[in-house]
Amino acid sequence: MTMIKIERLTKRFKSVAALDGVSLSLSGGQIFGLLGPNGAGKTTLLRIIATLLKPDQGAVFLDGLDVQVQALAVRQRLGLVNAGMGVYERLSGRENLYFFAELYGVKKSRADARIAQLSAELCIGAWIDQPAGGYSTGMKQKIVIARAVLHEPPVLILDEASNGLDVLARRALMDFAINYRALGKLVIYSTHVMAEAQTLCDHAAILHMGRVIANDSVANLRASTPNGTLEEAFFAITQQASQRDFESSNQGT
Amino acid sequence: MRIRRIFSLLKMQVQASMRDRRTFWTMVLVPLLMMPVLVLVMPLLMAKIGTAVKLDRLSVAVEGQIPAALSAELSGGILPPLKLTPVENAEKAGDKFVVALRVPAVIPQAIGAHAATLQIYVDRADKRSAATVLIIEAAVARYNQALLAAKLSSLGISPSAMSPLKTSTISAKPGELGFNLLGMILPILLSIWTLVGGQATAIDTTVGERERATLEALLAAPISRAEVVLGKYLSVLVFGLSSGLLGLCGLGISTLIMKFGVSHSFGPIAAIALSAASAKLGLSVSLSLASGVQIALATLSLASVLSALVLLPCIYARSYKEAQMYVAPTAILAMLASAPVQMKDFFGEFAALFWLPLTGSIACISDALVGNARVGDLLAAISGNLALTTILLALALWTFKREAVIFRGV
Repeated sequence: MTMIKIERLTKRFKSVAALDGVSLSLSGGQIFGLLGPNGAGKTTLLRIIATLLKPDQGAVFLDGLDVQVQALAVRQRLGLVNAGMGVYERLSGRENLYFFAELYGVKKSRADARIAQLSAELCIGAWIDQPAGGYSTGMKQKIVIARAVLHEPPVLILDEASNGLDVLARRALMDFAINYRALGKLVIYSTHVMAEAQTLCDHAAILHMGRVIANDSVANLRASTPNGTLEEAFFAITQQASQRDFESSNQGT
Repeated sequence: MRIRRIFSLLKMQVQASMRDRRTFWTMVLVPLLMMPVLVLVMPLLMAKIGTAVKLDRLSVAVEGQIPAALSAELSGGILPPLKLTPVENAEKAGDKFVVALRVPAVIPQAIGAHAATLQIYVDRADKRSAATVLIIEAAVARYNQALLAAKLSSLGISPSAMSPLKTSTISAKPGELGFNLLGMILPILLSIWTLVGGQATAIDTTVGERERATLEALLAAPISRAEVVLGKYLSVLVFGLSSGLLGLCGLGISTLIMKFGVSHSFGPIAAIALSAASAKLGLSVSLSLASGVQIALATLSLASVLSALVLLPCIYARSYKEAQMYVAPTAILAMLASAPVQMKDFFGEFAALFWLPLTGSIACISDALVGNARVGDLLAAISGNLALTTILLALALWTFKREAVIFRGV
């Protein structure tokens, strides 16, 4: 079943086209890799899905809801984690979670149960009641993940969420993504680290200069190159796209 | 608009801000302690300085012979007494005297005799010297009046004929306390406390969110931008208003200490001395319940505008430094708003003044402090403030909805 449908999405920042006619269809129960070099438009696309930015053209539907028209209902159905996302440092981890539980309309008893469950899954129980100002980057990221899935959204967006994390924290994040997929949810995993994507993702789209230049299963993408790695496939596909761009710009002049 | 989500945001913001020591200092302690310092410590200090000057008489060097009548005026009449010490040369009297006098060989002791000049050597840089000159000039004027009175008596005319017309002042509005310095400065202080109290929260709740990288998570939650702006505005208002009201509490505590504490600790004479010193400085306090209610309502209305005023630039700012730069001029604006209030007596009755945002509520507070509270003026002030608050919040929401502002530097 299609969870997210993206139709001819375009977004410009002044003269720069961050997204240029992006169309994708993402179904639930998978980890969808959104790959691309820095500046490819991954974060812009995810921010439009998360209702934080408005597209210039095109539309996005999440669970059948138009993200531009039914923004609050869309937000209720997704969780967002991105690189360096912070927590309220003068509150404890638990108080941070309670605050977001209230915003997401999660009742106190349900919030308590979810926090207990997530404490076990993410191993945050030992320090969750300490002030968040004293947390390490990895500890903060675990609270951010817990905060994003407290309301059990059908879509979880992890936008370069492993940036700056140590090996243990990164492993915990990846395990969590795998477990969340097992619940039948859609996890969008945006990264430029191909090894992570190869390990985690079922399906991947490669963005380059705001356009989708590949959209296939990770297995098919790997099979398209001699040594069978996603990194090699990514490199070959982006090189071809750059070459095409170069040739078309030459034809234009 | 969902009240529960706004309240959740407000509750979280208050909880977070209360745990910040800097907020506690600026919001609670400064306004609470400032008023007792102003109303109690300053008059006590002034009274103490006055006593010290009286005990340590001002020393005056005298070259020559002063007539007994003039000497009596100088060293113990109704004027502050001077300590007169004979010297050989007034010009070389030295630093231990604040002033030196050169008395002419012959001093007139009756009207009709020749005129003479008393030379006074002063140190123009020394304020005690200037004060002593005033005392000497007043003593000489009294001496001359005494000579004139004696002359008139010898001619059979009553000395009271020297002042055929006298003046007497009576208060036209018995309810008013008269000139009150506190009535002038308290509204300004209230504005500043409200601004300072709300400022830390305004910065923390806006650019603080941005710098802690919590803003994106908040915006991705199912709470509308209008609800976020309103929640943040209310948290600024809570702290600004608390700060202003704590300042008023400080005033109330000062009144109680003045009434009971000073008398109990230092005796009734100290209490009377403090009260007199306060009255002299225009810091005497006498609040009725009606005045208190008017001040509280005007302060609430004032805080509502100032909170919106301080929140708007903070929403636009991208860093703490930038926010502080934008917020600083609001204090000047608050002081400028009080200027028409200080000048209103010179322009006559000017009803439109009360409709002016900020100025109207400051005028109401000022009037309430001198016992001249009027409900119509208060309603006008609240309406003016409400209109400006609405405009400022609409601007804040418009700013907060702009992608270019929210994702600046993100």
